[in-house]
Amino acid sequence: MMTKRRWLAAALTLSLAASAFSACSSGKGSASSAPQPAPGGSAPASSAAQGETEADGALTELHFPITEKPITLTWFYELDGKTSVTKKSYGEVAAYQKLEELTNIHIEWQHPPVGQTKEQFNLMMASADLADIVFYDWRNGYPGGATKALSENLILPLNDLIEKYSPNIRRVIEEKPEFGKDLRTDEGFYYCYPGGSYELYQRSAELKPAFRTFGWQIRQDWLDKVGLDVPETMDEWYEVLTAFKTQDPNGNGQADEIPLIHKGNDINQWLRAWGSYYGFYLEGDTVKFGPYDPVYRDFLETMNQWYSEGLLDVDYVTTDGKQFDAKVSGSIAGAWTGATSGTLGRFVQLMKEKEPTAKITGTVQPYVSGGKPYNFDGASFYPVEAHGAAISAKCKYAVEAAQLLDFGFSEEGDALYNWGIEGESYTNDNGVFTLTEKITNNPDGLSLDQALAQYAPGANNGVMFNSNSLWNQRMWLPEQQEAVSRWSVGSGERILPPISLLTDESSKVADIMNKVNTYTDEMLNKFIMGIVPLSEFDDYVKNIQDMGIEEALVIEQTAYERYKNR
Amino acid sequence: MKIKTTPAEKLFTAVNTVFMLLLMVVTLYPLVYVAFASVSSPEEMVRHTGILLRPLGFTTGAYKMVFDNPMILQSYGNTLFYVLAGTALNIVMTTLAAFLLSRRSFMIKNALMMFVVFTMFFNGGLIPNYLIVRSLGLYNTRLALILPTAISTYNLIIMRTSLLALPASLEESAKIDGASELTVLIKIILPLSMPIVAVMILFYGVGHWNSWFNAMIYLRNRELYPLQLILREILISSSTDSMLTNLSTSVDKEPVSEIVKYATIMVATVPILLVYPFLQKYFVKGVMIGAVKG
Amino acid sequence: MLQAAPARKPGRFSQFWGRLRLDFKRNRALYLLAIPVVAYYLIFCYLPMYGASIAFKDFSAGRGILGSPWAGFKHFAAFFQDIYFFRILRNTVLINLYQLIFAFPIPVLLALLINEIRSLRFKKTVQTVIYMPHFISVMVICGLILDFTARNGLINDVIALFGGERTNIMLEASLFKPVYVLSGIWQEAGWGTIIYLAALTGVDQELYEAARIDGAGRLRQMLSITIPCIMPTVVIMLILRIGNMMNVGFEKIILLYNPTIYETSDVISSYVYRKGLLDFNYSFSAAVGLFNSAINFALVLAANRISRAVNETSLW
Repeated sequence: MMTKRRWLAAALTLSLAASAFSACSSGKGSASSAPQPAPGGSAPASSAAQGETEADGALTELHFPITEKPITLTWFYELDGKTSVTKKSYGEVAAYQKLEELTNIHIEWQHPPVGQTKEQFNLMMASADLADIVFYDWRNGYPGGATKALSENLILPLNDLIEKYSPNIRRVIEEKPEFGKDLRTDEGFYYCYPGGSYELYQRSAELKPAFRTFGWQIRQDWLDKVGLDVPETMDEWYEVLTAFKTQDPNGNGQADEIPLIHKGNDINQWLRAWGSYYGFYLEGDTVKFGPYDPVYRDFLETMNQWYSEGLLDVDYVTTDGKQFDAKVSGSIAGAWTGATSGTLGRFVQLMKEKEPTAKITGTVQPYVSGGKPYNFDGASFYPVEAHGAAISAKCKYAVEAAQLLDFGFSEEGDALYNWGIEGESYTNDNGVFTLTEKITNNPDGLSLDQALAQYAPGANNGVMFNSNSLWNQRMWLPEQQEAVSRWSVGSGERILPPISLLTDESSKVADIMNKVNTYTDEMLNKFIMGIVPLSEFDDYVKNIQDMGIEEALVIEQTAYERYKNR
Repeated sequence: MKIKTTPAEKLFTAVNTVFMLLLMVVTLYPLVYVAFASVSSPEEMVRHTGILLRPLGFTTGAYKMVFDNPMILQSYGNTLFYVLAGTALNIVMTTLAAFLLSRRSFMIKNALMMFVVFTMFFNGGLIPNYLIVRSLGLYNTRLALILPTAISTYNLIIMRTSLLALPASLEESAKIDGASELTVLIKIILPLSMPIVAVMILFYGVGHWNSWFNAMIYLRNRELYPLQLILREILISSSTDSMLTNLSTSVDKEPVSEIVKYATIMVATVPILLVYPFLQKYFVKGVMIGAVKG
Repeated sequence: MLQAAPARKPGRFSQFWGRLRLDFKRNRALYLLAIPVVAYYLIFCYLPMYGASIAFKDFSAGRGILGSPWAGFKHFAAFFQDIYFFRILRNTVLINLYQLIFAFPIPVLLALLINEIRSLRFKKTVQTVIYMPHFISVMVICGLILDFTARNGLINDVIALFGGERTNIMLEASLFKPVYVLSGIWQEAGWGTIIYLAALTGVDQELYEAARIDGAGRLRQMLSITIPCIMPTVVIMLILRIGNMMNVGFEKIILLYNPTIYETSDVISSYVYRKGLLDFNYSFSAAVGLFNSAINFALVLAANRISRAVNETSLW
């Protein structure tokens, strides 16, 4: 015992000493005390002097190189699947190489492992030591959103930087105030250079954009075989799926068809048929939360019925990308949802070789009889729905970063980011840009998007406006054209616009929604698979209530009101 | 043997032998299945159900795809580096620490032991560790996978136990000859401890080979990724656009992806399975030394 | 162990320093060699410990660990009231219990049987083979499990062969723990025999010789010599195992589970992982982690004490 006590004492002394030591050493480095560079102020504005400036010192256009002295910026950016097929990093993509050359800024790309972006991002935020530029979903990806990141001094408010050093995006904001409105928080801050926004950014009353990137897909040849039309209402869908199940449309003599396949929680997309959405959405002027709606029960009931009748893949919860592909390419699956190029385009081309008689088409967004189709593909309607590039509060070269990020909105940057390298990935015939044969019919067997991704982020999110005409060239398959036109039918009126929460609100909502989302995600499949009977739906609603959903709804509603009045 | 074996004993030996054979089959079959599947024709594999007793057809297409994937080879190289460099550091540090903790004449050895053992139960958690790694400038460098794991306290305790088992007279006589502590360690202790060092090499080596979590949180440059992280993307991650999905559907236009995972498993597993039997005789001896006293 | 220390004898403190100074003079080289080791533990183990304080704070990234406001026991309270509290506690304990009941005895039995193999070469082959799965990475193991348990996977093929119904095993909540524990046995049972086989080589061969002369058969020898000889090792391993009753490594869990079977697969460590890394609720996850550490520590102290009482050996 004697030795033991001495031991313990020694250990305690040591650990106390250690914690004291750690306390002072980390105090020095902690984020709170780190000086925050005034936006655009503290960094050596090496370029501002040489560029043409307005009277108040603001740049009217970018001048290259952006910096005389070579500098390095780190850029956190998920490596997309189209690029990762052939490249290990964006540093190998021609457009970004050109960018470095042009600006004299070396970019150190930080690509988190596929499927681990969220973990890496959260850790990075927790450490308050961000990459100089962070490309991420600032609205939904960080609990509390951009407002919180701004208030915690993690990212820079960009107002001054845009005003002084980003002439191109400033011009767009001046010309299209709506664009600026969607980019700002309610507190009036710009926080990111939007990624993959749309060239024809203009919202008419009907909200009809040019781009439709996501929707329902079905085997047209199977429909022909069972003698049914492309389904629209849920009743028609039921009829079609049942026919797929029972009438052996793949003609192999076995009832091995899986009428509808999904990947895990993607199943929630069917909630849209009831005009609701798996998340916050708008009904009239009221913000609602889909999994808390009374119609959610109808949705669960239908899915449960489909599941038990074998219309819905019994393994949908554990289906991953590979199995998903195998089911489609093996002519077992009848219908699914997915992207225009990544899913539809890929499958169309794949099936062409494997099974020339197969034909895939898109359908309008399903809706319940008496309702109408809704589109919840927010990225088609709002520029900052998804991703954007923010600048770290600790970035030493914020001024240079602001110019670098502005480049995508210039004419030159637009061409480079969308189309890549002239003469290699595209030709320019008096302003008419055309993808080269190397891209459209790649000798290495890459798809169009994959081939383009070797040169430019045009088929992905880049910090730029996605070109309309490139989009049309990418969607050259008749199947894609047909699908896109059908997907355009859905109304976007129920999409919640890019509202922003105030600092206190955002923490509160993040707190509540963490709990709610975990719970609803888990219950969704349990209800559909019948593990939990629908008779317990009321308990489920009650649980969500207890987690504070009403409070979150009130906050979202207030934020929406503020957005309307911006 | 003077005593004759009874029929009952013969029966026991027979039953035991059969059981051991079965045990080996159960242990090996999953690997054999993977080996067969990895060279089978993808079309036949898709149609096939039940156990495989031989490859269905023969193709090396899946292996070609695995080795064509730039990340697999690169990450393989990285993993080799992490295993070699990491284990080397582990051995130096662990030996040093175990040596100190086994010095009988060292007054603070018990305090030091408590100091060490305490860390087995309490730690600051993920965020502080991450912050330390960042503030030391190790973030996104190879060192991030090597330095923070320089000593495993569990292994250290095993090694210390084994060193304590060495006769005290050895070091005393060396001390009388005027040898320094370091000389004692290198010239006397180490040569006698090769079995336990071999065990440590094996433990640490396997640890580095398997580790992926630290790589996941500390690395962002794909060129530094260890093999396991790439395996995760291929075997576990259900991302639609995973590399292999794309490769298999666009480049080869064949459902090779069905068997690519098997080839990947083979590539990721066979080398270590080939290496370890050579170390086996050491580690069995080493664990023995630890166990007899432990 | 944790009683308050009795009042110190006067002068003991200075006595201690005196001896320390002497020791430092004598063992200067050892103190020098200790520097890298102590530095390692200070930097990578003790320095981060201040971070455990976020369990009692509302962690804010911008303010850092030290600057975040104190929140008292809020996160602990939240954990105990969490609707998943009993679920993850139950799963954690149950998985350990199953491992204790099923996975723990198997290496002992295997070691006994292997020990009875007379042909050295066969013995070595068996050992080489059954150690093998230990060297397969958790990633590959999980990839294999997911593949074999799929509806068209190997296991279902075998089930169908015997006329059973195919199911997606990883969607059956009731099957998760068996899959987890069985795959663990497959991977580690062989490797687990090493320590017992090592202990068996320490058994004095003369004991067997004497027993044989007395006419004892193999079974008799096993019961009265072999088993008693490895019992201490078994007891130590058992105690170590019990000290780990609240631990289930999260890696294999998060690689295998899916939301539909959280009911039976979500354990404390995986919950901590999700809450912290995915939901950005670091304070909460730190509180849960601390709670878990405290229980583990208590278990180890208890196990150590029992161990000392039972066979006069202890971890320290």
